[in-house]
Amino acid sequence: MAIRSTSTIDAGGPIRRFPLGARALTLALIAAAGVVSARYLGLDLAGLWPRDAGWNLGGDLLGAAVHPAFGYENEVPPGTPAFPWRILGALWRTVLFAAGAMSLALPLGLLLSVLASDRFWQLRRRSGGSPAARIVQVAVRILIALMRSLHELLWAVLFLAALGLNSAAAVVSIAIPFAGTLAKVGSEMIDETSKSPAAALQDSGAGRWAALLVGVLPAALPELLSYAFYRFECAIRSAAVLGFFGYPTIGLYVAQSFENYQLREVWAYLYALIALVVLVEAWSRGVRRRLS
Amino acid sequence: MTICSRKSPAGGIGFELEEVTVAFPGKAALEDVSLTLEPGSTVALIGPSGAGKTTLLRLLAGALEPTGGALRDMGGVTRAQRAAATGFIHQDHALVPVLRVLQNVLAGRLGRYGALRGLRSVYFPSRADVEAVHAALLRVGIGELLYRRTDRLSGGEQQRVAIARALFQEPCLLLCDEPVASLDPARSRDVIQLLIDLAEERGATLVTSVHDERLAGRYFDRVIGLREGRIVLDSSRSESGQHEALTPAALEDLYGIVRGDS
Repeated sequence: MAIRSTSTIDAGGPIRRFPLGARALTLALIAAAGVVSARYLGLDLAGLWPRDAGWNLGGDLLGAAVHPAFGYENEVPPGTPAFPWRILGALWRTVLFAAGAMSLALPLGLLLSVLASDRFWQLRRRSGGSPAARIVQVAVRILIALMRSLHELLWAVLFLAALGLNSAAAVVSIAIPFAGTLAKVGSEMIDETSKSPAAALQDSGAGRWAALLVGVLPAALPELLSYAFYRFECAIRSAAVLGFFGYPTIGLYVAQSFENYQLREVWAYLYALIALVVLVEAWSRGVRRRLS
Repeated sequence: MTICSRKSPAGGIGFELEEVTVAFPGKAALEDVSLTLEPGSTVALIGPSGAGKTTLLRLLAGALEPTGGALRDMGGVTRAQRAAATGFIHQDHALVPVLRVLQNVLAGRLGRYGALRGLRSVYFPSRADVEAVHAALLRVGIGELLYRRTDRLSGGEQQRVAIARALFQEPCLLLCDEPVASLDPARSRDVIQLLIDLAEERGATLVTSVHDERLAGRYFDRVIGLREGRIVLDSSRSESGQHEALTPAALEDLYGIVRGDS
């Protein structure tokens, strides 16, 4: 007996095969990419096994990890602040660089995320649509891509070459790619909000900016804020790494202690940095819990 | 006393539709609809899902333009004045989730106040603003929810916030899309009675879509049945207060099983 579809939704004719071929091809391509890169780079797992001197350094490093320094390991010149004060000062300056970068990146990133979003341009204008809208949106998206395409360390290298060691340059070099990333992710968060609240406000006569500020952005706020906190955490890590270029953040002291083979001091700095990041995370969790 | 008289700036909103068609790509949601809606009347729209009830409401709200025919509003007000005097209670309530009840209600006047004053009142409300919102909330029975976050409220509470927002707009046209779709019969009657009272106090025109034709017949001056984008039933309350055109046969014709699907 022939089986007939009883459904009222009848595509007519035999159903198409599920496209398993495309799926298999994708998996094969991913595997091939791994194999090709391993062959081309000459990846050799044996290289991960340390040689004699490497064993010594590794052993010293691990030993120091369980005995972080609580004071300077060597004599220091008179007038040097006590070791805990040096850690706290370095952390403080790390936070300052990160906060300075975020206070530039947040407003710029928010403005760009609005201009890059579809939701904003869907809001009706009193004067009707404008053909320039699409051009502005695409231009902003290109700008965001350019800002993100260079890592903050590369921006820092560029500024270092042009301006020398300059705190403002360090802050700006973090702020540029961070504003770009905030704008990209932020515009997606804005586009995920429901259309209807802003549409309802516009039906009752609200203009575009009022509908944006009351009907759209508050709905995206919990997500935006949570992401901004995460980026602040990332900015702290970036500011720490900028120390390796000579900025007085915690990275500077990690680099100095490492060069002097004062591994217990290195670990003291690293533990302090981890504690700072955990603290920021705890703070952001508190804020997120209240908002959502 | 009626506020929405013809003398007030946005008063007495009524409509004349002349062979109005609203077509979406591939489908006409309304076809050749001719209709006169008197200012101050209470109108229920009934009919099966997809009949064009929401499209008609959005057309009256000014959110859609007819693709054919003519839509005229009586009263000679500007488009902006009419928008500010149109309260639309959406089926999904269309409230901003993170904001407080106070702020969502205040947002109803963004159109009338304009951006600067409107934003100041939403984010830095004056004492008078708070008192006016509280009065609107008391009117719909949820005065105690003034400072609650809107997304923490139940569906029924959110609906009352949406009604309070429309009321706070001081509308002369009140549009509601399925206000009782998810309510039990007793609450449904409460909400419909509340909408009728609010509209009659102000002299506002009320147009509401409802699923329940008995509610429609009991509470509204006029019941309009839509099917597949066309008006197939139009009943006005007679002298005796009855909707004589709302016969079982007419309703069966309106909701009847769609033929041709055998």
